[in-house]
Amino acid sequence: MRTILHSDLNNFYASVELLKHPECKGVPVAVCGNVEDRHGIILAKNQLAKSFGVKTGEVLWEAKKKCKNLVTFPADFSSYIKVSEAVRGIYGRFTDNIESFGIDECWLDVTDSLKIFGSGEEIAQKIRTAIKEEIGVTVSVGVSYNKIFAKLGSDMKKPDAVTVITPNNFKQTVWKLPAEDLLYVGKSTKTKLNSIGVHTIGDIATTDEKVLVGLLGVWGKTLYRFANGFDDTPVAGKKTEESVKSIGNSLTDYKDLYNFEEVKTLILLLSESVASRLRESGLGRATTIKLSVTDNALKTYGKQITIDKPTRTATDIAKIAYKLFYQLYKWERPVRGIGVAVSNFTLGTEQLSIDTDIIKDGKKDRLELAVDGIRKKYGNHSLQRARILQDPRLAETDIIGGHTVNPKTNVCGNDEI
Amino acid sequence: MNYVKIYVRAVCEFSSDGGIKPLNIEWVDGRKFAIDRVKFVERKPCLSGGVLPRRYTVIMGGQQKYLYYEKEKERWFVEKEFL
Repeated sequence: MRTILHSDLNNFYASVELLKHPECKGVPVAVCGNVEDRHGIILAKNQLAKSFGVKTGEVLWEAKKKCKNLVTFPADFSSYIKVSEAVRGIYGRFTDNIESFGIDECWLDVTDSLKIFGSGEEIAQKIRTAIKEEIGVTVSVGVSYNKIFAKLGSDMKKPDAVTVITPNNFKQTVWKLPAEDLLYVGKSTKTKLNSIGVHTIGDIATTDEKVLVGLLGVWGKTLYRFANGFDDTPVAGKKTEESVKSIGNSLTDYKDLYNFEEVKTLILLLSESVASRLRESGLGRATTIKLSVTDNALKTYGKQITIDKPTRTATDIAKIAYKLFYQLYKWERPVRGIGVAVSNFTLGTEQLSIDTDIIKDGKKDRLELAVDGIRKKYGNHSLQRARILQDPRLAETDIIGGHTVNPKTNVCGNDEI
Repeated sequence: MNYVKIYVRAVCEFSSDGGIKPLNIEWVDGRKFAIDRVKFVERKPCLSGGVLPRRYTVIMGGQQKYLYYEKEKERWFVEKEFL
């Protein structure tokens, strides 16, 4: 039997802000995006703000209505990343098999470390104490024999706690929980499950698998396995995380965009970041380019194209993204945000076509690599395209150095809300 | 109880196998204090606010004191109770 830990940093962003501003302990605190840049939503809050009913994702003025004394801090992703890395360093003392799930959650497979460090629960307690004492933030750890129950365990007792779920006690603990607590059960799945009288995780486990498959398709089978503790998905450690399948950036502009010229600037900014990250990743060139557009009614459109000649330069990626935008967007509403992503990497080897101009392509490549070098040395703002400089506010946006999350092991995201 | 940071000038020794050891610090009024011994170095949250500072437990003039090192800005500080 495996021993899996799921560790969840409590109110992560807010906790880091409290580390920086200890005078705000005992005050309701929330972290929000920049209001002027229209990212003014609550990204995280502390326990006290939670007790006032402040919710993640709501707009700042809504939150202030509920809690007049709410102290807000702008998000400081570089600190969050630093703390997250330090926490990972602590996990690394106990196992090398660590899978991140977002910036503040991790699964750890400690099966092979039990002989050295003691039982799963003992390791969990050691991790909890180390994080609290060395870093100053708290963590909830779930200990179990599969990833799903470990995650449920970390949600059960908060903050600063350890919950153990064993094959002997899962029926008493996990089965009582509502179905939507299970990973991947969202609103629509919940409605479907409720329609056949399934309300708790125990109900899912005791419903005939065929009924669930009839209702939810393949997911029915998965949820049945999850609820019964049959999940055997491995903790995808370092090796798996390295196999990134796509690199993408998206950004909500601080204002609505009404014409193609404005959209072009944003696409260029995103393409630059994507291209630079692609070059740094050493994955070679990309053959598929994807564009997503969100309009001001929050409706999202997407289109992707596979190109003959793989590329890793910002100019090429942007040019293709412009074309995709032309084909995709009919300007029914102004544009709110854009996302550019590349995938299908050549991994260093590639087929040259007969009409490839090696010299010209090589020049373009070297130029952008030189730009990367300058930016690495003097900062991401040291060298910028004239088009982007036209919009000073956008020019200040540092996408590359911004918020990086890896919500799935096969996706390397870098999204700003 | 609130604490404030007081940044201080420090003379340090960089060892050949890595690591920094403070030798003496200079207080804001110009007085210098020699550090007799560094007892341990650890990562600890400080009371005056900051992300991941390194705490040096040092002996100065026969007394045990905490000296913090801020890596990003490469500077040293001590904490003072703020009344």
